[in-house]
Amino acid sequence: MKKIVQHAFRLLLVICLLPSMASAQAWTRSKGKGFYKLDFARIYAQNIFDERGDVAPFRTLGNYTSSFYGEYGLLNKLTVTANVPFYVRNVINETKGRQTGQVIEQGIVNNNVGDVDLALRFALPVKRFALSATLMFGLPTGDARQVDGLFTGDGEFNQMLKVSAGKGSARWWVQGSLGLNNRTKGFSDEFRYDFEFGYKFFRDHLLAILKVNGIESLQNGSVEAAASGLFSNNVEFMGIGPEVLYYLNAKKTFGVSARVTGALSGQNVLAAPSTAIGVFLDFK
Amino acid sequence: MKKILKLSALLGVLSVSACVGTDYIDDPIVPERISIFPRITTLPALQTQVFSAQYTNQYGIEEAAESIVWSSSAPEKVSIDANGKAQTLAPGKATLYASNGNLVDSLVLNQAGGSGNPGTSDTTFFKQGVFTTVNTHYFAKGNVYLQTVNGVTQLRTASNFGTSPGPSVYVLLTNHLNGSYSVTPGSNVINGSSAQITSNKLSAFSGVQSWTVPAGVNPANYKYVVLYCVLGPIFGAAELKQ
Repeated sequence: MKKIVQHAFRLLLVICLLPSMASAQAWTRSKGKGFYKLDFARIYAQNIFDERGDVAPFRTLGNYTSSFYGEYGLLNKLTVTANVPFYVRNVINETKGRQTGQVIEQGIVNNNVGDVDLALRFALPVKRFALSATLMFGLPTGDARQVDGLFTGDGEFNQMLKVSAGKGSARWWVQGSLGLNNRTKGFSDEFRYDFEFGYKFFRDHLLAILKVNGIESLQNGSVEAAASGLFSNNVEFMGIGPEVLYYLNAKKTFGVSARVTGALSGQNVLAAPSTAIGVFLDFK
Repeated sequence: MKKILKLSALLGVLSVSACVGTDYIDDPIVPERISIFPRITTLPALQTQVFSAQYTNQYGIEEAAESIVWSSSAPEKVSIDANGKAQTLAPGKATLYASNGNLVDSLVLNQAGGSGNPGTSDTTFFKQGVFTTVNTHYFAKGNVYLQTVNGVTQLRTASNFGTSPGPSVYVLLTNHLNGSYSVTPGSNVINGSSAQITSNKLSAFSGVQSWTVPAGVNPANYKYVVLYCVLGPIFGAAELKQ
């Protein structure tokens, strides 16, 4: 039992900071074209999945993450991406006695930036389907020092190499990715995966996407890392949920989005769905 | 584009303004009690000491006691007046009582001989327990001791102590195991239902450790030692016994 509540927060962060898959990752952007999105995600949880995957009670916790996600085609076969959680608000409810009205447990709040992810995506020379490799750097820009352990970042620099493959037609696409996330400071490395199927409706104004994504820990972190603070090693998660994007103008350059992600299973993770709404610009 | 800006502003305001909510739980019910302070047991001859008696209600909240009755088992050795002012009169010891209705607390007071230090005592209190897991999600093990020596109370774990590591685990004395406690990082919260022993969160989760119990905490008033994570759960608890 070396993994704790703390993992819940890491997972929470993972869920919130996973960039939108609105632009499928197997494909690169054309040179000079981009996709930019403001996303507002929320999780409200009263339970976690413990280290054995059982649901355990937790203090009521709200996570509100405002983030910017952007993709820009540096070259036709090279896209730079950034996921910037510029405002993360973590809130734990206060607890009051029903009979006395006295505050028993103080509420806890931490407002800060989160960890920024920067990545380069390279198109690989395959003809029958889209194939790309992504090198991502996770920067420890979030707060990993909050006194109660209510962090907005993990405090470590990680690097992930991911390979994505996709295929599609005018109306639909499917893509999947596999990645290996190398983490520092004694945190366990991770195997990450995602899969999505998308379909276009209403003259391509509405994109409906079903996504599955997950994390598997390689369980190779240190005990010291587990004890050093919140959001430690060996977070695991498998989530599924829909996302819809709707273009508001005829040229299909901007629109709104919404998504829900629920956890099918988890370990050291919040047992509650994540919901998000956003606005985006799409320059094809 | 204006639509995008307006929507962004609206969503941003909603995100930033999320409030701290309130969860309500049943207040823990703890034994009503009267406690005599300070817990000294020795006074030099012909010295005086003013004692007070604190009343703690069923919710662990300290309230002013309406009518405390003070008495001495041997007033010829140690006298005490209606205001709790005691005086050692002759060699020997006496038991002082503070009562309020059915609630009574007692304190044995000795007259020190010769150059005895005023207001001190030898070992006057000792309890011990064994940490066990409170729920299946976390673990705790090992012995824990609560002991008062020369007026200083210490809580000490044995070498077999261990618990799940956590980001904000505190050690508390308490009278209930409902999972909700008052904790202030860097300080100590003390009331009739719980007392925060470690002012800072634990940085080590095994082995021998000791903490001085803050002044104002009567160790006799608490039934359990708990390892409590501020983010929610109890990692373990030990029931204290003689």
